[in-house]
Amino acid sequence: MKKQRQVRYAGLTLAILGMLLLSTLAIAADTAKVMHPELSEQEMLTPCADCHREATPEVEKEWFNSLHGIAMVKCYQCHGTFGDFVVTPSRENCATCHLDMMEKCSKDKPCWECHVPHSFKEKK
Amino acid sequence: MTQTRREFIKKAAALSAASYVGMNLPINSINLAKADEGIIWHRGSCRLCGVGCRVELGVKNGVPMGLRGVSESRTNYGYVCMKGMHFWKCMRHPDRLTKPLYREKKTDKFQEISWDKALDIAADQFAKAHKAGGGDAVAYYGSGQSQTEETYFFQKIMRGGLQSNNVEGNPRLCMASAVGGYLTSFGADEPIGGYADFENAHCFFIIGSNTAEAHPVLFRRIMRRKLDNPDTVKVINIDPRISQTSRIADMHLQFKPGTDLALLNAMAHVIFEEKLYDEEFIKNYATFRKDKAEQITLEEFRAGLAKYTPEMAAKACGGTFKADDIRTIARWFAKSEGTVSLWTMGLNQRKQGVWANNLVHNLHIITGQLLKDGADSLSLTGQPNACGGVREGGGLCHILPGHRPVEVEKMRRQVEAAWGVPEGRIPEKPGLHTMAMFSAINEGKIKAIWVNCTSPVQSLPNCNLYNKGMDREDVFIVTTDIFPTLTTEKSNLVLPASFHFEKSGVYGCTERRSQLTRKAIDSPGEAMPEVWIIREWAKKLAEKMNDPVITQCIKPFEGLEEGYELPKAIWEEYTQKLTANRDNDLRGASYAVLEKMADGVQWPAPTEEYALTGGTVKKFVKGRDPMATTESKNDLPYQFYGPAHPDRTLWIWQREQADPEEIPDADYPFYLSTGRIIDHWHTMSMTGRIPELLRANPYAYIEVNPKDAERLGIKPGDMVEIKSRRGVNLLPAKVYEGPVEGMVFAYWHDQHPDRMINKVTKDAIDPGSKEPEFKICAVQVKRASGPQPLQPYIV
Repeated sequence: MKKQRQVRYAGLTLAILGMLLLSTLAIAADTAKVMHPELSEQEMLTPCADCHREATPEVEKEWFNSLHGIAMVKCYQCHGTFGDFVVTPSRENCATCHLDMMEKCSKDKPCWECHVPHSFKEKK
Repeated sequence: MTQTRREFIKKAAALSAASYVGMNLPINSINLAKADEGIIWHRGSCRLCGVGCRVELGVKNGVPMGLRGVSESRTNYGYVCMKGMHFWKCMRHPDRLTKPLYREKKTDKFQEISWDKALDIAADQFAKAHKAGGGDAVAYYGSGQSQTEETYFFQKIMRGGLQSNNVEGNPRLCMASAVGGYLTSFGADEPIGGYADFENAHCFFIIGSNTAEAHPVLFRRIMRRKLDNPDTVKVINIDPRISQTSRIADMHLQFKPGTDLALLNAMAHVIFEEKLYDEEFIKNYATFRKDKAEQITLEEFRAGLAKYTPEMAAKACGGTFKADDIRTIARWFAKSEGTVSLWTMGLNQRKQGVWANNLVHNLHIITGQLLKDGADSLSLTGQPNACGGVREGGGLCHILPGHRPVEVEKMRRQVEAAWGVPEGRIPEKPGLHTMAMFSAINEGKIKAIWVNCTSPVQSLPNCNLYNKGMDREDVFIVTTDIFPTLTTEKSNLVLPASFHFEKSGVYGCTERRSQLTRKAIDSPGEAMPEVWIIREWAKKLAEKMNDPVITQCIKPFEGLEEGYELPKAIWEEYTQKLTANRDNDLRGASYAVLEKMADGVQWPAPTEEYALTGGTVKKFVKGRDPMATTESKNDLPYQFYGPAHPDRTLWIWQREQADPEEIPDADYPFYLSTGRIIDHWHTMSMTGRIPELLRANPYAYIEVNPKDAERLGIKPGDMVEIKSRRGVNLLPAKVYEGPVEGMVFAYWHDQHPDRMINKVTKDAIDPGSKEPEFKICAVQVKRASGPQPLQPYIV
């Protein structure tokens, strides 16, 4: 619904603005290798989407409108949190919910070869 | 950008030093759902809501390694939510309670003691209390997260041993109104259908439930159904607050809190007015009732509905939607090929909770949207075993195991005979319901209480008042838990319990489905399964009270190994002796059968052969429910054999719109409503110790409608004081077009003294269900300051 997109997140506005720069730098680099920008403990208490709505709006929008976004499968479910953060989730992350697909799909391919990251639609 | 990165880091660094004092976030590990080298996967159920998702815990060398969904399970088809995915990570958290702790006075420091000593003290205190005041002076307060074997065994010792019906549990706070609704409308507790209806439904009527956050895996199924059939499936969302659930709604109606009974009556009004009712269904299966179940005619019922015109209801609801919107949703509801209603606390936690449930059931009965695939009136349960353990296992003050009212002599005799205890051992009078129980503690009338697997210090409404009683030195409190909580902080004796997958037992979820979780790993330290704790405590109690009847209560379980054999024997006693020929007949759902099933068994399931088919998907339907056939009294296809309606009809109730206990006035001009959030569970004792979940929502906040915020000068992040006649909170603001204008909303999980919203909520109760009205009270809302540094807080 439209109103959902009008959400104005509070409390951690400072963090959203503050992390904008580093997050932007992160996506410019090689996503498979790069680590999340270093953050303070306080910054780490910011929900991922709060920053990424500003820092990587296209990615956030793609996720928000995906099945994962509607069903509230949030960023950390696939990417972990600080300490175990991964830019590119492994097949094992996906298998938590999609174990049956692990059996059906080619075992030597990462999920992203067939599914568009963040929209999860099948690549044509 | 209003500040530089350097400025931001400087501020954040200053905050972070304080933020983590006393916090212990263990190093996390990635969920190894498929990496199967040396990992053994153990099947069980999730424990963090009432959906009953089937999961497998991966264990390597005795250490939990990951969790994955079970694809062939008909509850979740392999999917898990975020809490489900991560809960295993708290199993080896360093804060786990691993030794019994004791202090004579609540102001003393805890000392580690042996189990022998701990159980001796517990037995001594309960014996002493019993000697002083009999069964009225002792109490058990349990949980919808305890396994059925635990709840059943606790209430057996309380009733058969200590002759006390003071047996309660936190489901009183969440599901009691749903029980009242089912019993008074359908004559039997728990839903007729289940989740299988979702994939056949053409209309979802979601009222008072943020399904997307409170029951995410079920929401996924509803979402899938809607998105796959965007033109033929309608989703109606009725809630004073726009939530994530509203994202899939074709129509969302926001209303002034507490006015939804008018809305539901208006829908019925339209259904009759436009002749959308099912005359044949009503004629064959229903009767009309008012007040204390006096029968009335259809005409009298319709006359009662006459005033609930859509125009009247739209106005009563606050004028936030049009009268025609009510007509539209009434048509969608009645005309669809199958309508499923879903609700939770928005209807249940209300002074008119039972009535609100009745009015939803009314809509299904008058339209015949029941008993067929794709149609059901389905109350979503909050906890994993509120249905199975507490509602079915005798975990409330007025019910014995197998849906037996305690005040009925025949029922008591059946239970006494099953236990081999003398007739008259179980008191006739129901015990104290939850709010009365904690009031009795305030008054010092209860001298010893056992709190198991829940934290009433935080979860009771108006908790400041009840916490005073729990501070009394003449009230002895024992708690069994896995982590320190605000309630262990007020206890004399804290007993370390085994966690899920560290013991065996059954959970019964929303849709009458019982599922077994077998022990997969050992408990840390000296933590023990509750069933062992109860048995060993009762053994000492029998000795101290010199009462052979208490010995008789534990006799069938003597000497059994506690990880599997003991709970199995308890389950067998309960199912074979006390569910036989009851509406929740579980005789076929033996451990042997449950171990074979990917997703358990839906009752009634009288035989193992039948249980192995999965049990009863639709209750009351001949050919689909074995009891509907054996209980058949006529040639009609549906048979309503529920124990509460001797006339075997469904009851359509005349229930009037009535105000909540507290409505805003000049002094307290806003409504406050409370609820849940996807990342946290109840009092956060588990989810607050999982870094992913804690970080996703580290603090409670107050949601304020932007128009109200502008009027009050509140900006995002400002600290806001929320004050009722009972207590005050100081919360950061989230300015959000969620709550309807004039209402603020907070989630209730936060343990911090400034952010514990149950200090503010109201403890008025539904006169029938005795469930408190957490959902509505009147508050003042005032900006206190700009943004402040905040700390997550877990005791």
